[in-house]
Amino acid sequence: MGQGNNRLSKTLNEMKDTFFDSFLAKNIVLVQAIGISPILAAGVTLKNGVVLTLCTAAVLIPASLFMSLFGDKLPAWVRPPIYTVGAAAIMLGAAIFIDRVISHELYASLYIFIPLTAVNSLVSYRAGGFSVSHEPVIALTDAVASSLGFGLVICVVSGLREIAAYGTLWENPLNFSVVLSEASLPYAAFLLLGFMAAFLQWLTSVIGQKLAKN
Amino acid sequence: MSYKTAHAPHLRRSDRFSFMCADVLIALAPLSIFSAVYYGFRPVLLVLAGLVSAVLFETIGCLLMRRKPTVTDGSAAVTGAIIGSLVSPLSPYWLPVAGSAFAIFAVKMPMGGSGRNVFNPAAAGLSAITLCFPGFFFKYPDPGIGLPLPLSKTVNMASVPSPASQLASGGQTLYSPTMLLLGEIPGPIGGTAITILIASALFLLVRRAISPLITLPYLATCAVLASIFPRVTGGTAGSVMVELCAGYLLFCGIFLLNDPVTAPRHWLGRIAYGVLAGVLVMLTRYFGRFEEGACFAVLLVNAFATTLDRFGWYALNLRRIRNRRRS
Repeated sequence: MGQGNNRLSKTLNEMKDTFFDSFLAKNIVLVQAIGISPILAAGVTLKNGVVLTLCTAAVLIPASLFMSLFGDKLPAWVRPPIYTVGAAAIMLGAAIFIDRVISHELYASLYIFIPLTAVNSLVSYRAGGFSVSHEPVIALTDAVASSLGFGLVICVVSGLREIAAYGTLWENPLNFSVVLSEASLPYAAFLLLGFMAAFLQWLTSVIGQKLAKN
Repeated sequence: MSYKTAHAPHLRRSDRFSFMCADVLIALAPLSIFSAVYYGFRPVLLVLAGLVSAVLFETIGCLLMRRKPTVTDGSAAVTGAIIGSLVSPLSPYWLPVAGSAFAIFAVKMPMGGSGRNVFNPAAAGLSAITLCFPGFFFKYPDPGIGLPLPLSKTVNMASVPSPASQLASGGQTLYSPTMLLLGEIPGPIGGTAITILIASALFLLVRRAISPLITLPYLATCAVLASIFPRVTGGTAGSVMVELCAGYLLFCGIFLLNDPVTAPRHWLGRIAYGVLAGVLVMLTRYFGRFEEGACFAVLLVNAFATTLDRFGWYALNLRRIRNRRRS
């Protein structure tokens, strides 16, 4: 019984570490610099950001789970086609769902990026790399944390860009007198990502120093 | 054996950098004075707004980063003065201030401050204000009005097409070579007075603040491209003349490309840098969204500066490297 408890607490600890690492300390976008393209191109309004986060999570979580369960039983060259085809199937469903159920306008603004989510380097890196060598629970934690980390970055970037470029947030007008329409260009997102990455480095170094002192 | 590491500018004597910056400021002064002859004191105030704000922002940045203030080397003043010299005489006073703020806070200080910036801060500040406020940036007054511009905050005046915008739209140019050389053309504060620009360039060459190995290949490349692909009717010579004098192409070759921090050090790398800059400036003119995009081209070549330095060294030492590999 005691051994079982030990194992459980060990797994929980590992889950906690994985979650913290993937979400913040080794943030998929700001530290590993993966999955930047959708943020630059489509992260212009908060709504786009949230939809892309959901799409990424919808692809990454099943793909990671599948690869951690069956990945080591498959030869390495079979894995990428399998999770890519699976991700494409999920995204096809998501695209039809967004078009029919949510709104056609949202689909029209995102139609090129939804299929691209399926072949995002983020999915292939986490599902094809990390998940294969880890237990399903840890892989699932990593997938959720990576999706959340990606979502946090894209939501902050797209929210700020929407405020700057259109003077709105989630399509609610904020009544600003000055509007910088150029914030919707990719270079604004590069600048924001650079400053956010620097901020994260500063944050982790401060936390690291605090932890080292204790 | 231990190696000493130092940041740019890599000069034999480190105190020469502040002398170089002072020389550049001296060379910039006649340009704004020339503009003041046509438009009154507004251009001078615009240049001063850029200069003072850049120095102020750099001081604030150094204080925020808890560093020793680096404003005494004069690089911030040069950055601000260049930004102020390339806005239109009609632009509001906050425009060069916004450019300086972007140059110092988004480009210079995050990279580590004076001497450590990869990209030319003045070119980056100009790019930012060109992209964000093209309506203010490309609105030039007519030099033939004969009245000084009002010094008040906003100027509501009809703008006239500059030579660069005429090049962009094609057709016959309205400006004769004499007008171009004397600077009787609408354009940015410091970019129009071609004769004074050439005099400034000679002064800086004599003072060894700029390198002919960058400026001459750059101008030659621009001239060759302008003669091969003319955009105005009226012969090859006319096309070359207008292309070189329009916008701030010449200013860019003298002041922006020769920044000792971001330019290559190797002589062959410098020539390649000039040629590449010329090609990119002409490409941004031919295919760009704006009538003048030299600042974007400068940012692009800055990214290649270290590679070109290495390229110059390798190109000259090919035989030695090959022999070493064989043995």
